[in-house]
Amino acid sequence: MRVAEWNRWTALAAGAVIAAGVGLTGIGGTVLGVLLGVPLVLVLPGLALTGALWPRGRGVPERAALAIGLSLALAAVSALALNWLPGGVTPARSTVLLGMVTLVGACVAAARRPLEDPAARPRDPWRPPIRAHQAAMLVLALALVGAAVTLAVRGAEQATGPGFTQAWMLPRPNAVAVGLGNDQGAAQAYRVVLNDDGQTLQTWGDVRLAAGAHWSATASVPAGAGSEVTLRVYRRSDPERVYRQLHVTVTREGK
Amino acid sequence: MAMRPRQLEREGLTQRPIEWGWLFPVLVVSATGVLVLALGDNRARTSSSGAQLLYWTGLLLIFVPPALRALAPSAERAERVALLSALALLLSLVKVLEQPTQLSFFDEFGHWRSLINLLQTGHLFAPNPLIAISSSYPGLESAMAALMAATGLPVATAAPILIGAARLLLLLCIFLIAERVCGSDRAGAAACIVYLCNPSFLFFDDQFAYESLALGLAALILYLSLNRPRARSDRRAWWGVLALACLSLVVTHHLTAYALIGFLVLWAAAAAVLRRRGVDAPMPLVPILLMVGCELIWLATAGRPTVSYLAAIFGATAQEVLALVLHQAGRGLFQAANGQVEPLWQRALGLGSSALICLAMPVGLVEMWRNRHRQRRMQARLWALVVVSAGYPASLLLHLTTDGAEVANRMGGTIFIAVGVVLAATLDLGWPERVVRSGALARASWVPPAAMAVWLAVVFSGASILGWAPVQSLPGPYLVGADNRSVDAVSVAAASWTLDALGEHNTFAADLTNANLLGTYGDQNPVSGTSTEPMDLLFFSPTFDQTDLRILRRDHIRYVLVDRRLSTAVPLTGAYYAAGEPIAALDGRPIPASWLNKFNTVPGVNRVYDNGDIQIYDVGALLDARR
Repeated sequence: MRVAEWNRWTALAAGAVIAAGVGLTGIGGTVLGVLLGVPLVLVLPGLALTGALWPRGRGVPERAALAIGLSLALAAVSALALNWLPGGVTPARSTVLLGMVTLVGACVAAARRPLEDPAARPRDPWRPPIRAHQAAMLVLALALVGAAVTLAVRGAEQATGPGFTQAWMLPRPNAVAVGLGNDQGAAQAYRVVLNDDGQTLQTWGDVRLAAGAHWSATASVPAGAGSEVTLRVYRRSDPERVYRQLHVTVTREGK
Repeated sequence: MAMRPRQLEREGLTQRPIEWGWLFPVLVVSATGVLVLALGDNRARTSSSGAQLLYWTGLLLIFVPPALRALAPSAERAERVALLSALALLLSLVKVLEQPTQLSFFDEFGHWRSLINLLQTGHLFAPNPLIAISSSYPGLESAMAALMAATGLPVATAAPILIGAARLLLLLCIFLIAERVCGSDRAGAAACIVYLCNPSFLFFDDQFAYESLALGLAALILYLSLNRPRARSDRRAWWGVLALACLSLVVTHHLTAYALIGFLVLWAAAAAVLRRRGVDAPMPLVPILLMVGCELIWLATAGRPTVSYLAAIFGATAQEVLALVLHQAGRGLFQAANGQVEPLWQRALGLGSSALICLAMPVGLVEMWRNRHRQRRMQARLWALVVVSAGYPASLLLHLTTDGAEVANRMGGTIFIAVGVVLAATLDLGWPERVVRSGALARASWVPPAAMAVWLAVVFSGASILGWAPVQSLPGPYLVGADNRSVDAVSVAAASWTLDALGEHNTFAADLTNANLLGTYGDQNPVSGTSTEPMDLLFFSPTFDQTDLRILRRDHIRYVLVDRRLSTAVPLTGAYYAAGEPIAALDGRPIPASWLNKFNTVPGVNRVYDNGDIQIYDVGALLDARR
């Protein structure tokens, strides 16, 4: 019992160190980050604290509630503790703090582990608590939930509405910065015309943009031009109709 | 000294194998419900037929089989706990599946902005232009920052994980509390099942908002308060853990902390009365002292704006209730602010849900009164919970007013813990263990579970209709002023463009939805104006006038965002720009497009952005008072 308890808390301490290391370095990418980072914040600190403060065992629901509850409580006040340090709250400090709490808690829990009780026989660690057909059903349930989430993510990504094109124009000294963004869901071709009091300053006759692509340019506004510049955007599929129209007042340096 | 078998079982040391009963088949059915619901959501996204049918079928498949099994007399404690944990997590997916790739609920943006401030500055309490009070309660953002740092996940993915953990904690604690107070694990399961039928559970309390985390922490404090250790050595640890939990709740959410203090005081009062009658009723003095102490310190320091914030909310509710009593105003039940009425079957389910709960409560109270001597030490907690549960019928009346409905929804998260304990006794009568064991119903053994399944289906689906408008429960095309249904790619693109092209922290005037997106995706500072001359007046006039100019200059508004889609419909939630805007002057018609387009012709105003629906105007040239 004492050895098993010792091993359990040592494993927890090691897990916390590894999880904090992965969180700090980003090694292993998102998958490893999630697999280790979620327990590091939401389970391990509370579990270690519970073991350190109450070395005698508790039922699984009680332990689970205390592990999650104390972890959430620690995470909620962690920024409060770091806020008054020079440099304040940083992602690295939050991770190190929770890792340290787990490490210290696990060490204390290991030191305070209870003496063996002859009536208390731990379950065989090599015998899984569920049978094969139950495990199969659990995997099936998880697969169904995974499929549901994947389906929803794909559905949300595809449902972008009727599609639209962004156009912008920002004044710069003696110039304007113009741009287009194609969010129509398919490739589009545009004609872009820059006017000044009815006179064309510049035309971009064939701006072709793939779905999701952006285009930008800068056009200078000559000193003799008026102060208000107009940008008109036409779609190649409907070349006569003004699709987007913008206007800005350009400031002239040295004038 | 050797432990007795019963103690061993409670402490998880028994050799006896766990009997999982029907857990795994039920999980498969429930998970199938999640898939069916996702199919319904996807059909709703494309406005295809059958979305509603799939959604409600999925929802009932997720809830009813596990709930029914968790209430079954034959289920073991471990099976009940596993089923309840699975239910907590699977029901959390209902909101996630509605919008899995981004945050979309109104309050979520306010907390996201506080999180952005924390990550950018490295310090707490930075001003929040979306929900000012959020910056005074940084518990949620603190936990979120830690989770994002450890996992590397973006906010939209990390938020459901954090809130899912908080909801799992909440359900586990309600189970343990009710089990302790009522003396059986079946009662614990029943209290949890009733709690899941609280109108706020499915959507409101699943959002990335401070109340969602605070409810779990409050339940943890209650659980700890009920389990004060007898050994002196353990008591110091208990003090420390309780103090940590109290502090975390106080820094997370004001109302939940006040509700918990109120309950603890009620419990202490009940204990005092019982002690006079010779009952050994423990008093929760330590939790009260810790909660009140932490709360006073917080109110005196970071939480100072709380009083004025809550006074405004409760003041508005009180005024509305008064107007209702005087027959001057009111809100149609099951009617959106734009006049849209929900279908008859949804109204019937909503009313049926409330009626079934109200009818079941007296039965539970009678049963509790009969069994009051079984758990003598728990009596004070029990009666305090009974008093709190009486708040449920009262909260239903609040649904007759607009602000009151908001308050009632927020109350649901706390009141239903008590309602759950009271109704646990009723559910025991509905599917009685003793009758099943005696074989009296052997020939019609399907009757109690079937009746219970119908009761659960009506109460749960009705509650979900009461808590979140069905039109907002499913995804779909853009709707005007409809909270999560107004967040779409068009608005997100405009907000993101502002950050790329204009830089951060520019002052913006915009409607409610776009203000939220500008404050998060765009990292801009939307303004709301003052109480005498609010920002919304800028849009509620046909031409650009001196009032508009005064508002722009007073609030230093540099950019105005106009969403022309607003002119196509009356907002579902009752406001385009802010609560209290002069929308009544429009006589139920949408805001005229000409009012929104007026900035096009104002000299000196630059139209710098256009995506068809949304235009952004640079009004910086008008801010110079010399012009």
